[in-house]
Amino acid sequence: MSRHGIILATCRAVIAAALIIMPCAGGALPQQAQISDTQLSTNSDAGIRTLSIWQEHSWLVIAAVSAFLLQTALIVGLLYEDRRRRLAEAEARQRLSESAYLSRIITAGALSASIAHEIRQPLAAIVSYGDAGLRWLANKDPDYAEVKNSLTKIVDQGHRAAAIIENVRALFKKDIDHRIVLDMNSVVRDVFQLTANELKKHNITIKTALPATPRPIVLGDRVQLEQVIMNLFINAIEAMRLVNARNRFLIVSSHVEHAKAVVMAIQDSGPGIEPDQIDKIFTPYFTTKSAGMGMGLSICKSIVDSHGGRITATSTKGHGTTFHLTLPLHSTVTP
Amino acid sequence: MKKEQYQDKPIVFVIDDDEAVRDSLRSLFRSVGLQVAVFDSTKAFLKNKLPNAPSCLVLDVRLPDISGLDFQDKLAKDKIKIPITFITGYGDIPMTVKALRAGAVSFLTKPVRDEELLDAVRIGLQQDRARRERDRTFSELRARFDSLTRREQQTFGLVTAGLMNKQIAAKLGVSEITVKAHRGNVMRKMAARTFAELIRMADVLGDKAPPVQPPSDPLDQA
Repeated sequence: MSRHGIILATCRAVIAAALIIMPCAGGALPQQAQISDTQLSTNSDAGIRTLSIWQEHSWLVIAAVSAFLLQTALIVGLLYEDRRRRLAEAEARQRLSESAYLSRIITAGALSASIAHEIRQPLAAIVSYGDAGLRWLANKDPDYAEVKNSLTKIVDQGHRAAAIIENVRALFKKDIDHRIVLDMNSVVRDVFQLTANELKKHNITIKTALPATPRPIVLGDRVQLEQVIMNLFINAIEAMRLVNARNRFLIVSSHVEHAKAVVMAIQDSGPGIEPDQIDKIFTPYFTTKSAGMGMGLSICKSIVDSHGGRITATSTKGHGTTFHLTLPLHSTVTP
Repeated sequence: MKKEQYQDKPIVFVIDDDEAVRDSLRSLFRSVGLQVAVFDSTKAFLKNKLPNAPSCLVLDVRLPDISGLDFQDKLAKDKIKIPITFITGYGDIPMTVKALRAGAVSFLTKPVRDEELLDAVRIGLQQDRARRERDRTFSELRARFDSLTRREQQTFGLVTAGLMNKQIAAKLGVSEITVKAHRGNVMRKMAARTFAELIRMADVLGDKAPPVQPPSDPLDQA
């Protein structure tokens, strides 16, 4: 530890200073008082008084002591500062992973709520125009002009709803512009950093096989792909809550297959998924969690699909689940 | 005058910021022969003078200037009594409970079923009609009551509280004959054919009838 190094160095410095002072302190001999007998009056007593260390070298003592005190203060200060930094870092990490987790939930929720509201308006109008049209027809004196008006408005509102959906799609399409050349290993490492706290808190042992060559590079949106990996990590963490703390493993590997695809495997040691459920897990609103929305994996799948890849899961009951994520390898030769 | 424009026919008011929703609801209400007026904001609605006819309000919860629920509070504070049916794109239970507690007729989710909306509107109009009837009866009775002299008002209060003429005479410090005369005047002026009718009138007027004064005013001899 570096702290111990600092303390040792300080001790050495103090001892060295003391050794320098000591010989000087013992060096005053009576013979050195250069006074001849002639200069003294008769019957006078000549005596030599040895000066105390303090009288002779007071400034050195003061300097040594204050140096010692200064160094001590410095060490205490550094240790305190070091501790503070560690705590702040831990807190920042925690906050980052929490906010990443929260934003994942909030974005999906807020987005679907606002789309739902937008679409509901034309839907409400269509239904009411339809009801009105039917009633105009059912009246004793059917008012065909009103019926025609209702039908025209229904068509308009249908187009309006379609335009809203098209706008939302366009909003998502913009993300294509964010696609950059990415090393999937670095994406995984980022997610490890974001989830470090959670993993530690749940005593999960991490094993990785992320070879640097050949580089697993893809063309993709960093945030979206991080979201996919994060989602899989969080699912794994939640699944492994159900097993003994000593048997919690998260194994992440990547490799390049046939110089064409980047394949990632994210394996947990949770209780696994029932065979009859494994086909449904990517379906929207399907969930095995009590508080789940059933959106996580379906969002993952749509992100992976939009990157031209695929995501599958295999599971053995009692032995955990493995998610396989395949993305096209980005080669610099072909565009 | 706006008042004349709506005549005395029942009318449905709609406040929704979405033009298509407004227009479709107008068509729906007109198709069943209801008079309807639509507004894109609560401000536009308030600028309009409310007609002296049974009316009800179909109110969107999410409005740009003020939430529909807050507008409900505001109307209540301003003593504007109009039955409200809420329509909303996103209703939750607390919101629904709040609206209904505050007296809303119904709370419907968009897209609304026409039967539910038309039922709610009919109930709203019926409530408003009944309230107007009550208000009218009350103000009529109040006018009759105000036409009574103070002694007669006191007699009215004591008679309908179930006191005998003799007791009233003692309380007011007058003769029983005088009480009988007051009582006759009360029946006549209040246009009550039977004593039971007079008691019902007292119920409608409620505590609006002034309390009985102590018999310390010998000058007041009607």
